[in-house]
Amino acid sequence: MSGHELNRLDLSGFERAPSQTLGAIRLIPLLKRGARDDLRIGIQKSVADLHFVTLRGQTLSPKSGYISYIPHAFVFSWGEGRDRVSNHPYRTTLGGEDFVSRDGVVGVFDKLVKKRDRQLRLLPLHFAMEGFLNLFVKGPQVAYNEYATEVFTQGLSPRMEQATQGSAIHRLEEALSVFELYPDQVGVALCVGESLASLFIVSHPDDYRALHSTLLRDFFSDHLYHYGLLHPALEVKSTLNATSINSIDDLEGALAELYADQASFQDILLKELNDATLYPETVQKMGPFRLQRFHTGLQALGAHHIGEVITREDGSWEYLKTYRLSKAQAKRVYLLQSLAQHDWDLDRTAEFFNQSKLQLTLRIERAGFGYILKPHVLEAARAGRG
Amino acid sequence: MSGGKASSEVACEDIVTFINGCFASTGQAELYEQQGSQALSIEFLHEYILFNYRRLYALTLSANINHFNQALIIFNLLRAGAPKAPDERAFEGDLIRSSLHRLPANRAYKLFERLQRRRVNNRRTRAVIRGYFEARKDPAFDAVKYRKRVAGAVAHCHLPLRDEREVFLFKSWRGKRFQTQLFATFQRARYAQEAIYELPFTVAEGLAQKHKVPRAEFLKKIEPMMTTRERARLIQSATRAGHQLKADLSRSTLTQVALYALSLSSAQRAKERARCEEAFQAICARALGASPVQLGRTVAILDNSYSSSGSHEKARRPLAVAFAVHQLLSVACPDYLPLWTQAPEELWELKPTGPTSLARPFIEALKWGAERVIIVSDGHENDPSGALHELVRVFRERLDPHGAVSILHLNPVFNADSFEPKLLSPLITTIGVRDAEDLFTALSFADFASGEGSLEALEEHLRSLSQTGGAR
Repeated sequence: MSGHELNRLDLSGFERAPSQTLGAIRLIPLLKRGARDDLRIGIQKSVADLHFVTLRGQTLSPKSGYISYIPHAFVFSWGEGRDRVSNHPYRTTLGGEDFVSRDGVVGVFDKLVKKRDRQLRLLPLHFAMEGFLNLFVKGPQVAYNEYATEVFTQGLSPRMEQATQGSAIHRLEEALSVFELYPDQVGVALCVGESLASLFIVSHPDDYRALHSTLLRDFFSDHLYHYGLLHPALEVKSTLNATSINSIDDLEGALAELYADQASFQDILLKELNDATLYPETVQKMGPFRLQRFHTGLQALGAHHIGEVITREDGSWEYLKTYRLSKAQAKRVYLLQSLAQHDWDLDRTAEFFNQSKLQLTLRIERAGFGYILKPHVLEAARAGRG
Repeated sequence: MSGGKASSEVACEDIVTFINGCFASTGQAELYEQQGSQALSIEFLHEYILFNYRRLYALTLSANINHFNQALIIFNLLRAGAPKAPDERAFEGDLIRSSLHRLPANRAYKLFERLQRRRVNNRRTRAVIRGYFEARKDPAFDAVKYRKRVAGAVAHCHLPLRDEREVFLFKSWRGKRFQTQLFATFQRARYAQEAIYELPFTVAEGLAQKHKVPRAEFLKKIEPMMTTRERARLIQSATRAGHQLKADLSRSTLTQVALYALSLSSAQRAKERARCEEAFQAICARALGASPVQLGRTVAILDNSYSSSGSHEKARRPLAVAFAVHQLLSVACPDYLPLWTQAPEELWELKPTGPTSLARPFIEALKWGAERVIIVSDGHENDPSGALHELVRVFRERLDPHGAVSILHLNPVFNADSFEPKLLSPLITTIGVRDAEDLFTALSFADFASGEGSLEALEEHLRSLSQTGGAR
């Protein structure tokens, strides 16, 4: 078995310190003693208002790229000591050029992930998100009557998903700025309203210190915005049993108990991601490291996460960033998965859902995929005719 | 319990909360909160106490509270008008006068400006301002340094000026030759560049701009005219501008020396260490000479977590207070153990970093056999949160039912939401501090803050302080 194999999220290599809360935000520090110094991350900040990202390394073409607000890119450099290229990459080494237009600056990144000279540039989370958008994007292979003709040539493209920027989440900025970093901290688990929003881990504590505030510029699913306003973080109050304490040594034991209580509460929060089966996709080999992206199993219920990870040969995790899908996003992809599992046959899929074909048609439209069906099929469904 | 006693207990609690707030709050921003919230909070607290317990409110002036709150109390008392009873009026008047004269001049003139802006112009206000002007040693200097505010105050209460100040402040200077040396210099400095170096720093600074004097050259020549505070404030920016100022440590407080030491880079800190240590020792000796204390076997749990870096307006103050308290205790107590939350390898490389773990050092302190535990922290415990309270609760219940070990929490940060410094635990007495020298005030105030003292005893304590003019 190769060390890069990725079936489950394994946080056993990281020590979890007691969490720090503010409003609805809970930050669980992840620590690693004796971190190695052979994979460092630099940040490439962007001044452009918008970016065009070409996906296949071609020149600018609306067919093979996307436009997005991209605040920064991460640049990974690997190797020991002098072998490694600078930790602080220059914009020019890996970035594209900027175009200044009347309405602002549009930057260009050629490719989501680009490798050169022991350096790899990654647009954080965009990479995982692209993997997610690509799921089932090919669409039906059999020319069913109901589907619009474009679907057979273009697939489901363009696929779209919405997300919220971290700075919109109530008090996240404040929580990040007053957060007290541990000396050995390499990562954090961010919970909003006691639901796990994101895991972020890097290889070296110094890099984490530098990248801590970038969480604010990441994107999060829309529902976390509401959670941030509605659900304050719980206060974990443990009460010690006084009768068993007869000496100061007992008191010291009681302190360990308090730590254990905190840890078990945090385990509950992390459980949904810890227990999930991961479906990985290897994308890049970088020396002894490997960049992969994954999604958790897509069922009708439960929390769903997507993420990107860099693993070392010995199986340890050197970089991780996850995104929690919103309920609506999870439902949409579950619908696509079910269609794909039944070869996009509407009759069989409807049977699987225990619905009529008409209901399924409406469901597809409501999920935002109306464009893959022919207009008259939708109209008929809306009118209630089969 | 009689109704009278219950209300007196409530009153005592109110006053204690108030005094406690007055030790730490300054209306400035803190790490965990914005600027506006604190100013609102403390002003509400002032009004509440003023209208409910006026006599005690005035007496608070003698409790060694910080200058910001002293000025605010004087403002509120003057605005409220004099009390009817003659002895009350005289007593209050004395308190106002004595604390106003002890305030730094800039605070006093700022207070006058505030009175003017809020249109407080009763007979007592005019008398107090007149009294202040009469008592100033160098009125000409004030007129130059605080020109606008002095003019404002004079105009506000129609003070007759029977000297050259009248022309200097209000009339045309055309063809006028001032006899007062400083006025003449000021007049000259508008045209002659060299004359600006005989003026107070803040005045010269504006004129240097006018004469387009390079910053480094200006700082070098004006250095002798700078006050201790001005020096401390400008050291960093002066270095950037190309002139190394020398900190005036002999006239600073412990916390100011600590702030200075912590503001330096580690290389500079090593260079300045000897001077700082010397200053620490001199100030500690002075403070202990004024009020010697017997503290017994003492542990200080000192918070140097990241949050001790304070806010932009109060950079590193919580850490500086902890550092200064450490210096004071290491001189005051022969039997003393400091425990930092993130122990630095070398004390002089102290910096704010890491989480706030107070529970572990607390256990360590008990193991060491401490009789007194003093915690200096902003009260935001997070490793894990609430642990210290649980430990203290169990410790008091099972191991120390008679309270043989005294635990005191000194908090350099005011919490606007609760109108007092943030508590670590309801079982630990929390007292606000702004300067490390306040340690002794805090110790004398601790009984009241823990809710043990009565209102009468508190009033007695404050009266005795007002007669000695405060320990400071």
